[in-house]
Amino acid sequence: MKIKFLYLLLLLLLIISCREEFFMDDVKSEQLIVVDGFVTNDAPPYIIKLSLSSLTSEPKNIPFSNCEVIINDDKGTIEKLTEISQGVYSSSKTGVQGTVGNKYQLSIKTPKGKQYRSDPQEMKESIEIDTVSAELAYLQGVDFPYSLPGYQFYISTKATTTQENYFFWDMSETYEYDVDNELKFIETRFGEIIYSNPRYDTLKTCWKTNKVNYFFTGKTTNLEVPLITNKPLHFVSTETKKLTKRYSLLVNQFVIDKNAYNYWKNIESQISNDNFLSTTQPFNSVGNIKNVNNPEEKIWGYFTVASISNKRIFINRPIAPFYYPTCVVITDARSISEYKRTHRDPYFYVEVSVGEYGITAERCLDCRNYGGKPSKPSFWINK
Amino acid sequence: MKLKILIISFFFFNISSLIFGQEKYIYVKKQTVKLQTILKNIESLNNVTFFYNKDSIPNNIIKIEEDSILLSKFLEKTLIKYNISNDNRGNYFLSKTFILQKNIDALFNNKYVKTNNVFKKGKKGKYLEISENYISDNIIIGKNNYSSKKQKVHLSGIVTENADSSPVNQVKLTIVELNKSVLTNKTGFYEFYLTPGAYTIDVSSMIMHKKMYKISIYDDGKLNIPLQIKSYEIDEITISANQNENVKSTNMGFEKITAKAIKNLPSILGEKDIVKAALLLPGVQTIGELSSGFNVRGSPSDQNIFYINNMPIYNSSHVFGLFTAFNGDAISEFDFYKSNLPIEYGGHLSSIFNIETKKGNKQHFSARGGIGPTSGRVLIEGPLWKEKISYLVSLRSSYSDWLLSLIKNYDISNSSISFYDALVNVTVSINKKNDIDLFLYNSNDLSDLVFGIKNQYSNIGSSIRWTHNFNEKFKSEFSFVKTQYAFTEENSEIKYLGYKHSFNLNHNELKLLFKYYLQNNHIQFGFNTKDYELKIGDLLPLNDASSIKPIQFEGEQAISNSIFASDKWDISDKLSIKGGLRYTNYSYLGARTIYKYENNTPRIFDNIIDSTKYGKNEIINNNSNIDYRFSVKYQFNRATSVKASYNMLHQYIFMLSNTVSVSPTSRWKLSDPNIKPMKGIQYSIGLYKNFPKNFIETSIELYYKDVNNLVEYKDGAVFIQNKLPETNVIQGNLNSYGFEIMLKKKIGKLNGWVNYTYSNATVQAFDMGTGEMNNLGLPYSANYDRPHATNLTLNYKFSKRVSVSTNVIYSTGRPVTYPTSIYYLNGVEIIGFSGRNEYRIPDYFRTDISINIEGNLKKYKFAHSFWSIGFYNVTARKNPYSILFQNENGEIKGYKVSILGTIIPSLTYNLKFGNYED
Repeated sequence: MKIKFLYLLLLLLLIISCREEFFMDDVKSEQLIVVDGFVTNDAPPYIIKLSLSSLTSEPKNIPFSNCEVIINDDKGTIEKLTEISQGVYSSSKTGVQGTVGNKYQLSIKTPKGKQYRSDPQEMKESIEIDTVSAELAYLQGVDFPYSLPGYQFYISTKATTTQENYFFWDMSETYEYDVDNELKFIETRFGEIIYSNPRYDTLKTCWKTNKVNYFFTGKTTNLEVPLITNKPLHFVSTETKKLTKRYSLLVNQFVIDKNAYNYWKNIESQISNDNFLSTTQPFNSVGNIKNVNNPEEKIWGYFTVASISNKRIFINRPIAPFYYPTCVVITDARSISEYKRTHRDPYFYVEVSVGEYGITAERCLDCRNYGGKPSKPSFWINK
Repeated sequence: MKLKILIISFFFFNISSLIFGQEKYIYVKKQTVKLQTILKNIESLNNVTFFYNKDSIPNNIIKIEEDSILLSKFLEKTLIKYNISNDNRGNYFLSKTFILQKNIDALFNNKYVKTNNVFKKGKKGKYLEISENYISDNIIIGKNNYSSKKQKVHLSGIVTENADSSPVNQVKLTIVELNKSVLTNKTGFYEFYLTPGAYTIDVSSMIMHKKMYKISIYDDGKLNIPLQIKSYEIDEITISANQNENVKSTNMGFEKITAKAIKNLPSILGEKDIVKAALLLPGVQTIGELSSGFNVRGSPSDQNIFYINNMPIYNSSHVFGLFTAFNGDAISEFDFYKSNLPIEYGGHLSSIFNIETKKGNKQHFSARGGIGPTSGRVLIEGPLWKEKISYLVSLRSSYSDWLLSLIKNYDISNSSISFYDALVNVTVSINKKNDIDLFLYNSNDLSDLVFGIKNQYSNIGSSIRWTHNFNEKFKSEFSFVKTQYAFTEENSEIKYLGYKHSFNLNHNELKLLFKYYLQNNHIQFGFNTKDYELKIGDLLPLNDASSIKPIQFEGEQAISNSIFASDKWDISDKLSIKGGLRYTNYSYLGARTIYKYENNTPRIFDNIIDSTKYGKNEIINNNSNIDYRFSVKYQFNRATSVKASYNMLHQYIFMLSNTVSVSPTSRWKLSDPNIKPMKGIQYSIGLYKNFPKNFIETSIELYYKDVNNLVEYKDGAVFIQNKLPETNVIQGNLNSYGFEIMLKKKIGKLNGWVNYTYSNATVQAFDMGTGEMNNLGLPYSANYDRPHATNLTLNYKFSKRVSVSTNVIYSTGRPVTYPTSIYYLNGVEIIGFSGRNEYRIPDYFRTDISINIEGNLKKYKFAHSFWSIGFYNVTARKNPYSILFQNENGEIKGYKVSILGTIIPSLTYNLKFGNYED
């Protein structure tokens, strides 16, 4: 994320502005139906998620169950989706197939009988990703007193024959990380020292996969040559463990149509409105699903039909300072005896510097406590 | 705090009796004592009462060297420079000027018991004994026998300054017997219609010594009056000489603000900002600190126009609206109209800011300058040809980058923001009938923010104004103006999308205005032509790293020709009406391609059914409209009146902006076949009442306003790459109403004003024709709608050299669109928003204080200095400027951004050649 324009500007003006977290009160919340789903040219199943919007004070996913969800294409295939978990409706492997050039339509019937339908959406030709790259960058912060290093990711697309192309990108990241300190020995309350424990050796390194919480949109209509070069995607800072060993980013590139682009671009601008000098007017982006009997009804979400391609890259730890929080290690003798008095054994010793040992909590020796799994994903390529 | 208006001593002065009659010895000890203390002592022991204004008689320590002394001797000795009057009843009046009986109440706190007005008993010659400033020659105009034919005779003349015969504006002439007053205009001209007879004319002005004439008038005639500039007095405060003007004139929604009156107002970072003072007036709002626009009576900012010496300025701000782009030192005053716009102006629906700069000194060279935390300024003036040609040159420039480099943040210390403005005003007095003003203006802003946004914007222009008086009753003004507003923007935030583009707006204007003064009518008529040329620069890739496709834009051109006439008719002393018509023919000219959209479909590219290419200067479409203005005033008495007005106007140029505030990259757009001109009507009525004894003016005005074809930006549209501006906008309606209460005290040790405004401004963007709408077609509050607003401005003079001023500002928070729900798409948290502007940010409240210290007040000195210590936002309240919502690692967070959300001290030093006054 880039630095906030106005905030900077204000700092320019003698550090006279300030930004504080703001909590809204007395907001009338509306509970609306949310439709979230893609049909792509990947092999089925395709997932449509139905939910209800939640209060801003307690944001949560409220699944909307027991609906009748149907996808049909313009070649005569109609498929009723199955609710595989609450609010998640899945097609079958043998039903509707995503094919470039075909049109797809989504219909929903709620338990109360309300009917919603999307316009038919055409699947566009897919476009390959040329490169995904990363560059060491420094975020000039105002919330922290130092410049924060990290990787800024970029995407470039391959040239196409069509001038008008619209893209939607989402990303998933996987990273390898270690626990903060390696176990050296374990001490029992009787003073017994155990030097090896294979259990902790296997919990030293984990891999964690996340969906990146942003998406990006782009288009080529305003470009001389219809290819996108080094469009900035997200920024991963050294404030977490993500970049400590090896990081992998999988970028999914969806080719969408103009209407879908306009929808997603508006949503994108609402969640990254970082120029508040010009305080653009917020508004609700209107999607492509309408109540059949009452087209005025507000509905969130979009039924996106897109062709997909993807690319994965791996990058190693950057040569840069890290600022993530680490586990506490007790090293001085008085604290160690105090710790032993108040805690049950066994006591886990780690090496903080050559020849200097200290006690740390057991959870700090288990990489799963950071959310990952100690098994290497199949796609992982070591350096 | 002295009054400079009129001041004749109508007492039954009889100096001989004062000396030989009831003169008193008083008994005082030899002592050293404060003056006011000894006066009190004398009062208690001697059955006399002293009347004086504590501010104008200094409470000095005096040394008394005798035990007993004649009271008059004592007073003369102690108060050498003061006038001492007595009424033979033991009442003594001490003042620096002469005292008119009717002002005694105000001057001396109502303690004085009124005696009969004995003016009629006064004898010729008495005045001469009192002061050399009074001349009581009996002037005879016309022949006695000749007069019987005429019921009324016309007396006119020019009031000039003795020294250089330059005309003096705003001099008040009063026919004492009739209690009838007029003011001289800019050319020093005045006139009366009188029944033949003998009168006393009292001539007074803020800056001149007063004079008094006894005249006997039998026929039309002239009386030119030379006045002497007052010798220097420090305890003057600027007051408007046109007392009761607010009640008497047909103007409504009008304010005149002089630079002097707001000299002491607190300001941001010490930048004296006369135009920002308008924000303290009722009915004027702004989005926030960083917004260059004003919102007057519920109108968007593009419905206002700023004129400086007849030159329109399209962006009147520095640093994104933080400062105004005029050096406060160079400004003399501004007139601000929010309804009942004068007939000579057309083309803007809401308000006019008409700023006049000072004129160069015709006698001698002078210079002044000042330095504050962000900028320095200098102004020089003087004669080029003594008494004929004078110049005034002003320059202001920021030097604020050093502040930025102090900040330990790479992005900030490597960014830069700078601005300057400059103006030149040359005044040529050819002869008594002809004057020419030449004016040049340039302002420039540059900001280069290290992460890749570079903006530059500027105004540049020149104007020439020739005023010609055919005779005292018939005057003309001819002006020609050329001005340009331009900006360039370079954006390299995202390298492959790096672009640059530019925009400029050329405005040429020619105006011919005639003013004809008849006995009870004031007629104005004239001709006005405006030529607009808008050039939208190509959108170009910024550098090799950018792969953006260049886009060429077609420019725009239009010409509007207007003829206009108005008459103000004083039907009786009480009733006046004023009406005006302005006929405008507007032509939109080529070269340009005009697209035709399928009827009853949204204005989008896909619905274009035809296009027509027009050649250079070819008329694309032509629009004729008549603007009406009408107002009426009924005056119950000298100090109370009621007024009503109606305006119907059209506007052909508007600003395209998708931001809530005005940004430097806002483009202007002309009305074209696809975008209709805006049409606005405003009704207002008002009640005006003055309390002359307390120098308090009060008023209440109600207004109702309707604007059709308002140009609103379509949700989510992007105009930087859009060649078809009509696809970005929806034409809607604006409805606004409210009332404004104002209470003003212009003079006194404590002066200032307080006002309250209730207002409502609602926009509905729903085009029935195209079916396009914002906010589902429902009405929403305008961005700047603040229902309750109160401003308090006070100035308190502790002494002649030290004064304190304060502003207290409160208003309802402006409307915003809030998140009302959260939902998830593709795993990302998304905000669902409320209806447009359905909620409000917290209320705005701010208090500013400034302390002003004048250097010593000697009359003869080389230079005078003035310090101003300011505290902006003393309560350090964090007034929200905007609320914004961000997705931070998948979580929506709301932030309240406040600008200037802390106490900001500033220190400004000003220096000028000469003494305090000049």
